[in-house]
Amino acid sequence: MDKDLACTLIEKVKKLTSDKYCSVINIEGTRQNVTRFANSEISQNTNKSDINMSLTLHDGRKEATCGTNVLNDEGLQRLVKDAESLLAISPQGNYEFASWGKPSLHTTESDKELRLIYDAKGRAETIKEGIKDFETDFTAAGALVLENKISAYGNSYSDEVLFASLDNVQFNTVVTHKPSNADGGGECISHQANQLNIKEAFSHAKHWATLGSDTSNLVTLNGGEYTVVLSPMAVGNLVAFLGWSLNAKRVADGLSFCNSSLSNAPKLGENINIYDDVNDSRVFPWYFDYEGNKRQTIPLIEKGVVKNLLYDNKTAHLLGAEQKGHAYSNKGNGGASLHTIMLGGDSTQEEVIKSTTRGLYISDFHYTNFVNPCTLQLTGLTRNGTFLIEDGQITKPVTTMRFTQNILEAFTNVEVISKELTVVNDDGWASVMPSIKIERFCFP
Amino acid sequence: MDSKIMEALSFMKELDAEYGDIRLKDIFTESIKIENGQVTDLSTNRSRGMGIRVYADGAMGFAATSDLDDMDSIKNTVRLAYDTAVASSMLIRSKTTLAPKDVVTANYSTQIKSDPFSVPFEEKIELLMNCSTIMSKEEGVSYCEATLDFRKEEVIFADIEGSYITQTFYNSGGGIEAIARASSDTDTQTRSYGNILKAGYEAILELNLPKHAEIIAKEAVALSKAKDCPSGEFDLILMPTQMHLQIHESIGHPTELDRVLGSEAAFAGASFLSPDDATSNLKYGSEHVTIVADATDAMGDRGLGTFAYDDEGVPAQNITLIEKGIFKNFQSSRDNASVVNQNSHGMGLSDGWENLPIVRMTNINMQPGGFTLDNLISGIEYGFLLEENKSWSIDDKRINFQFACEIAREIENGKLTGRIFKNPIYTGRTTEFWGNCDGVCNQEHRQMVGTPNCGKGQPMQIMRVGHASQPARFRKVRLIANG
Repeated sequence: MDKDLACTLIEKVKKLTSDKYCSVINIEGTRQNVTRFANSEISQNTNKSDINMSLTLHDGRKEATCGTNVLNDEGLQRLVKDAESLLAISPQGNYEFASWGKPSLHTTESDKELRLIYDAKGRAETIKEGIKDFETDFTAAGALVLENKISAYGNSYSDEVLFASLDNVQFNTVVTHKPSNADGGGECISHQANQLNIKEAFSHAKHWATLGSDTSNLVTLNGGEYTVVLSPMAVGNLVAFLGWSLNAKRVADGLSFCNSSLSNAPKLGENINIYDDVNDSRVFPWYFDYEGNKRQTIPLIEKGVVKNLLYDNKTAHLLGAEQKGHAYSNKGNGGASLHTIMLGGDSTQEEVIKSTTRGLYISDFHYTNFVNPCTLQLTGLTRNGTFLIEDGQITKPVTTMRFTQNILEAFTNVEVISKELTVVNDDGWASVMPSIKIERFCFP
Repeated sequence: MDSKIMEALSFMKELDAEYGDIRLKDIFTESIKIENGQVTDLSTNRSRGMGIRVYADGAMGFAATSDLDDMDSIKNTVRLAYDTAVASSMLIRSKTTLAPKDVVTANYSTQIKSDPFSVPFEEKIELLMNCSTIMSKEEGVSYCEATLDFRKEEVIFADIEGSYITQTFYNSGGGIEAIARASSDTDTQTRSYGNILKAGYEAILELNLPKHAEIIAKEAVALSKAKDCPSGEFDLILMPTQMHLQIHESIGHPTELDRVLGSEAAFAGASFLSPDDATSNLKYGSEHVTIVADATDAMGDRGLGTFAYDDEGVPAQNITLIEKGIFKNFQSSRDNASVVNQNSHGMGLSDGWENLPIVRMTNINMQPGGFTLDNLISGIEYGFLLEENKSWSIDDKRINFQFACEIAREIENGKLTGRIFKNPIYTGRTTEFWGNCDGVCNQEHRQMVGTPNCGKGQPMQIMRVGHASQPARFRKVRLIANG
């Protein structure tokens, strides 16, 4: 879908809708070409393409939403008819839709190289090339994804339509040393072909699997508090939960560690700085949110202090706050950070490990979840390579460990942050993370 | 649409496809949500499209499209699936084979008493408003919500071998939740109630949401004033509202054959089981533990994993996974069943038209034992009865799990004391935990719980599965402190 088609569809729906109502039209589309591999061969190879249009009608404080992916004339007529019928029986709510403020926006250009390099044949060749030098003891599993995201927004207040379409590639792999069952992981994500190094991600994964294969030194540690050095992937995993806790709707509902005024928000370490910054060239250029608002760069945590919550229009209105373009739906669900960046420190990644007398290096976490969202206590497991650090050196592989840790406390105990930053995959969006060292991380 | 499906199948033959199938799904959903007395979601959605799977050169390709108006678009999608299969063949060690199945023509529909899409919205909103009013009346409740969700799925499956199957499914779900704020500004406690079944609107009425609105609101407030659950080693009784996820995570996922064979190793994870374990008499649990994967709904539970044919055209089956503690069978679909020289157990399912069928749980149920709940409680000197899951986590091999529940009810000297504790968190290791099960309640205590959010696969698929179970007792389980 291009902008012309999006405009045509939005215009058709606006014409079909009674002018008694304010209408908001969203088009969200995805095309995904996914090559999955396991045991070093292609196991699944899929292509999907879908475009969904939703129509939200407002009549004062009444609201109803209908959606469809049947975009022919019959489908659009049914969409409008259903939405008008639903609006008729909708009770009065506590929020009246405010008109869209016509932000001026950057245009999004996809890197044409991505589609040329990563078609079905290209994806198969890339994977083949990545594993061609593996010894027979090693196998690889993973996925190479060429994705196109589409978003369009229009409403009855304006003839203007916002449109964004962006290609990106996402890659992840787990390499396993079969005799020892040792795993290593690697990944990359970018909307720019020249920023993707899939071969390096394979090498990275194999490096950790090789280190883990030293089963004669494999140790199982007792529970307790450990100094941990977290890879950027592991850091991204924890920061995603911190970002989720800053969703203003969750805060308002009592499902976060702070209140709406942030008056009770605990202070994290002064070295913690986390931003949502759409203008950073490493993250996806996705300049308007689901409600057509311009995405603004905001500090989430600055010098350890919580600075902003993430709002949608309705939550911001009800809480008397200003929305800054982070809505991910039009259902009043609050906002989300899709461009999370944690600032780096002064040390090299090597120095982060060298500065550790005894601790654990953790490549990634698996199945992290809230234990208690009000205290930001999380639990999860180590995955794809955990190692003992002794006297500044990685020495021995360690078996899988479960952490249960208050993350607010953990982020007050961050002793060292790497200056190198890595782009990691945050649920299909690019975020930027350092490697960090945390003291007293709890494995109960 | 039939003629387009037939033309697409003919086109697959023209391309010389080794095998091919088409699934057309037309999915209608309806959602209503009321938060603190305000309607915050009143919406419907329709998603229609076609998923096409083609085998060529011994490899598989899949493509899906929502553009069904134009035959050229459908043919292009067939061509894309075919070309993708050919590209896949560049990196395979041996040709993929599919376990055999019969050619069938069939039609099936969920048995419902009341079509949820015919019940007026006004009636549904009134039900939820009533619940919201009841919950918000309870002093100390800071937030309450009430929801209804309905789904109708019309499916046509046709393959190159001549099968043609039509199925219609209905899901009906309802839930309520109350959050109470404790004295501290941010510490809140949640109590919730609800279910989702493959059923009509009658399932909503059976839930009796207003009655439970009062109960959960009072319990949320009581929990907000309660102490944290003690930590240490205790005997536990898990109720079906927690048991469903215990089964799901520590039995459902590890017994999926694709995970065992490594297909999900890079994302959802693998399994501690090996392919040989189906014949190795592996002790998975105690003699009280019998688990089946039942897509046929033999006991009339109306689980979300009920159907007549899976998304590969294989008939629904009732397979014993664990019999009296001994592991017996994997969950499988056609491509992975052939690797272990078996027939598919009929679990090749996808969450929509746009995704490839992969091994998914159907209804993974615990079979009834011989105890009453009073019997189970009477056998505990000091322990807890846990209800309603609120947090879950398990490692990538499905060995080390941790769950948190909404409420712990104290048991002392074989009786419930009436005292409750907040934030119970327990942890364990899969086979050791199931080995310590020493009693399961009888069929009178059976409850089917819908799990509508099971994530697996790349692209991620969110599947709707069911778990029927009875309360069961576990000895020496480790509870850990809330931090």
